[in-house]
Amino acid sequence: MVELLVLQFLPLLGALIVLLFPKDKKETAAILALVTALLELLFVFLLLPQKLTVYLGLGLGVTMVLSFDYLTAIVLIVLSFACAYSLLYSLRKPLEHERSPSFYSLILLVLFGTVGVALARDLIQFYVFWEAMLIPAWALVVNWNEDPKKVRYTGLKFFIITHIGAVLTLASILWIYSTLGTTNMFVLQDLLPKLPVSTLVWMAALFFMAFIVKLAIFPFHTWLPDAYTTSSMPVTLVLVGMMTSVGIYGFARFLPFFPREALLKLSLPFLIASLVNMFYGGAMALAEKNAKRMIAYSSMSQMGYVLFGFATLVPLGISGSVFNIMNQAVTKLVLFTSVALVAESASTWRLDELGGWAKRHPFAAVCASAAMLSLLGAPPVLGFWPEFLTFSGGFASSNYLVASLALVASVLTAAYGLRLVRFVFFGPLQKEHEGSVIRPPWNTSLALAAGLLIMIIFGIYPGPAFQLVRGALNLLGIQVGG
Amino acid sequence: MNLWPFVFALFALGIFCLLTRRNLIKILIGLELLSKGATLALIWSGILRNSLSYTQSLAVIAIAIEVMVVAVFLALVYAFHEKSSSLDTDDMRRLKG
Amino acid sequence: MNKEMIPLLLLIVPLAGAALVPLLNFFASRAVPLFSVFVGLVTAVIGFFLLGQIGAQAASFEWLPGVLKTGFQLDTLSVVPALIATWIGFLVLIYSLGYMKHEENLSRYYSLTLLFIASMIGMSLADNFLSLFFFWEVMGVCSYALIGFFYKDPKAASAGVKAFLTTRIGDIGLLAAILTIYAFTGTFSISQGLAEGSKIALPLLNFIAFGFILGAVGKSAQLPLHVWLPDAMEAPTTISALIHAATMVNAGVYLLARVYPLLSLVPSWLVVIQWIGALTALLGSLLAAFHNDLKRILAYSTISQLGYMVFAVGVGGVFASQFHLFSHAIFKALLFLCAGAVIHELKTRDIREMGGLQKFMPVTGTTFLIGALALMGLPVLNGFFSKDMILEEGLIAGSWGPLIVAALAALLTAYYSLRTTAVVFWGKRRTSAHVKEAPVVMTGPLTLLALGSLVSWVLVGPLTTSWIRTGLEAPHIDWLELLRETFSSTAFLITVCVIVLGFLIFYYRRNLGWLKGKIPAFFKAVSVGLGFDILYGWLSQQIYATSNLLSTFFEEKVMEGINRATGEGSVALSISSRKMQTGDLHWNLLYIVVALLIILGLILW
Repeated sequence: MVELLVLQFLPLLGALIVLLFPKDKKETAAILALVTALLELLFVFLLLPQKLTVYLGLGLGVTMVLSFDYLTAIVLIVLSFACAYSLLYSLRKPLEHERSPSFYSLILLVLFGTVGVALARDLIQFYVFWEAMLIPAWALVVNWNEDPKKVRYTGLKFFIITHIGAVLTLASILWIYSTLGTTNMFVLQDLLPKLPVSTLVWMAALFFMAFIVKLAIFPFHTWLPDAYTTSSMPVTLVLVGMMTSVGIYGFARFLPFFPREALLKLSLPFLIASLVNMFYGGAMALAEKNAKRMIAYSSMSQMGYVLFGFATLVPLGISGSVFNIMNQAVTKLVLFTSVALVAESASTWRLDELGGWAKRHPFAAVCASAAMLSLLGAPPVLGFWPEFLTFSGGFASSNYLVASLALVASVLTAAYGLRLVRFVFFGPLQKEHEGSVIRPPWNTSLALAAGLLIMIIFGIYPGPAFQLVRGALNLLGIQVGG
Repeated sequence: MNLWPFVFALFALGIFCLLTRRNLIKILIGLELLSKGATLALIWSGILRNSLSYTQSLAVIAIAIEVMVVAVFLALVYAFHEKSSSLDTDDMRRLKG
Repeated sequence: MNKEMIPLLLLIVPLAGAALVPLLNFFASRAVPLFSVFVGLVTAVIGFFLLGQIGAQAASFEWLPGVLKTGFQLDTLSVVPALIATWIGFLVLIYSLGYMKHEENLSRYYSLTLLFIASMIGMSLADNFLSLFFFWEVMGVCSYALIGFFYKDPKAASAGVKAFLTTRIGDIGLLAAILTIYAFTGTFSISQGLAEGSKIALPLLNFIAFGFILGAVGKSAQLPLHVWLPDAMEAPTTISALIHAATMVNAGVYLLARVYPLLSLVPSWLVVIQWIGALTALLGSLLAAFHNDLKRILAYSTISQLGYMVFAVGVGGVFASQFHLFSHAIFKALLFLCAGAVIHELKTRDIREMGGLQKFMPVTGTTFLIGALALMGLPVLNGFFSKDMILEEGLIAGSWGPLIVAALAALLTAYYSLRTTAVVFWGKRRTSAHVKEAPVVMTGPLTLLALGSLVSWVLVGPLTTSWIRTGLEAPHIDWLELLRETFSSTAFLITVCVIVLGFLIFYYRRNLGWLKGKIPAFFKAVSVGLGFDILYGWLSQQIYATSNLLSTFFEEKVMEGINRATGEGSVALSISSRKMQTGDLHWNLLYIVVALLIILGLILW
């Protein structure tokens, strides 16, 4: 009982303590925040083999339901890792205002909200934490940015569009509550199948809107490139590593929650939406001339694959998408960070002004190449396994045409991935940037090395990670493989 | 006996007064008429439902609150008069969109 | 030691080497080349032990829990490509000691080369489609990275991208085929998949066959996806020898041979394979005959020879195709490494600037000649026997169309082999550069490979003996029988004819100069590789332009416009609704009264 409360409120506690620090104690604040995130990570690992549920009465008839299972564990590991990664990255940034205690506190607040989302087993509670995560994220996007001219528009867009999704989900929650009289997910699990399928289809469709927006599925994607590009790097990392993971988690949690008959009706629309995302995001990324925006669009196209896996509704496809929670976070954290190293040295993100940086940033080049390969699903890096599982889901669900089209889209993915690395790291270096090898700061190297190791080790031997995914889905009644 | 016509008459007079008068003091009188109607309705319903003592106490509280409303209203009127040396509602347009 | 672990060891040793090289680079970067050669040596030695394991059981383990249990398939079909990779890989590593001596970033080079060798071993020994695909892709990645090894050169960087993308198109076909089989049989196991293939409905079987062929066409650089291989010559020549001639491109042919039982269920696709192979053979030899870049000549020649192997699979001569694969790997590695030695000395790849090198580089010259003769299929070199076997299979199958095309290609092969050798090593010296023979670490492997080209065909006996276990048909002959049968076959006549004709063309080539004036269009088309590059360049330009248009118009105007319109719409709405806010007390009171009345009305109803 205490364990889950610690898990839930440790980030909040950390955030409050960090906030109390005076401005001239930034380093201590930062390290404390980092320690909090790492402690959270450690706690998840300590709790890992167990399955816990806690009912916490708050008075006035309100009860919090916290529960910890493998799926929650997966997303918590990814979340606290991504949080620690972002904090580690922001430890020694040259930008002075990034190092205020409130910045670190806000990052921990995002962690608090996302952990709440992951642990919640009550729909209202889920919604509250979902919003609680959006607000600090919005504050981060608006206050720590690289483009003050665009930031108000970007922040507004980010908040309003994600909010629209959240509100639609709230509508679905209220609908469920008004028909079935409870928001406890364990109870609802048995009650929902009694509703007529025609109702359930609309309930589910409304419910998934928040995640669809969070995954930036066309046409709700416009917030993503702007938010990723305008924010300063640590904030981008928070968005990439934590927001996206929670979006995927939402799908993973609620797909088995709704009865299968209702989801079958949604399968085809979702498949088509995912295809559109793959091609559209891919085309955008291919045409993009700004490296940061390119990676942002690549994220959009990748989310197409994630949605594809879920939409197949077969165990293999779903397991691929759940596996993608880990893969997407690590891959894009590493990709962003390594390209950011170059962009910092060259003080530009524009592809036509970059090139040849492998010579001065060899480690970044290796990391970016590995992450790029992972992005386009090539072995021996992590991305191969989720992508292969996703596609096999497509074929196993007999959607041959859609699955083949998705395969074709993967060529587009390869095209923009290769283009990115080609134009940032290969080719001749511009004259004014000639020089010796640049040693990246220790914290960035450490973060990159951790990401790279994870990608390669699990790329070659995905066993343990996939076992966790399998266990998670098994608890949700989805049997992957024999 | 039926007091409802009086209640309605008081309400109608009050609303008419509120909607047509431009002088703030007259509006206050319209407001008073409305609350008198409300108090009367309270008492009459108490008589009808045989719980006069209960509604009487409510009426007393209502009157007390009414006095406070009048006091606050008059204070506002006074402040407005101090500022614009007028009691005409046409001079109060700061809420125009 | 447990014998079941030998294949695993064969895979893990180079893999571990690949992982250790970057670490070693931190402490002792100068030891990297020697360490890599040592790893190569250990791998090659383990390779010998693998020979004794053919047909044996091997260890298996759970790779992706519940989904994939992987193991090793040890039959002749799989062991031969693996051993080619280990042994030629080892020779190439030795050769690299000399060739790559003065380059930077050697740890990257050696690490990727070892990883490549490991993945070729893994690919061919895999007992299930998924691990096959895994290593297949790793090879693609290594190839991409090694082609772009000289990353500062934009040409090399782009060639890497091109190779990856082109083969990727093939890869999606392969993946689609594998996953369709998996969806039907519920297993990735190759043997089970092939056995249960006949139960799959015909339309899907067609789809699967198409996927496999697409995969093979991409990896083995067949028409119409051959365009990446000539560009891949931007890689260091050692890599060209190892990857783009002797091993990786064999993967496609190996795949076709492996899934032949499935392909044979849909005969129409076999005809397609024959034509692809024959036309590729012709195209490759035609382009090789008119090119002046030494490495590109060899690249086109590789494409052409792979065409033969694909053709052989198409006519049902699986053994012939693998036999030719074996011969080709040896003599093509030899040719490339010789070319490397020459290029290393002269710093140019244009054959018009070479000539008369035989005197200065006797070993290189002689070994190159042996390779070239094997390539053109002169008796009694290894290329002769295997190519003859392929033509013989074509005759038996009676598919005359492709066979004639293939014979035509053989004629051109004879011509360009002679032409290249003559222009590079014989005749007048056209360069003033100081030329000397390559060091021993380079000539050593050359000599060994030349020896191989001379005698490797003797191994036909053991190859056919163990072939039975693959479940495919093959002639069961030893080398004496091979000699007798080959010289008495009809195909031998064809071989002799084309070689003689090729020799005549070569001899009277100056008298044929008038042709150039007669058909300029043909020569122009040949000089641009028959326009495939132009077509694909145009296509990719179109895709890029479409993306650009989508991005600048749809995303930035339409989508952004919708966003702004929503925002501005709500602002406009609020401006227009402000008028209701009169600020007049009486209006406000009226609203209140009306609202009260409405609520009252609602309650009363």
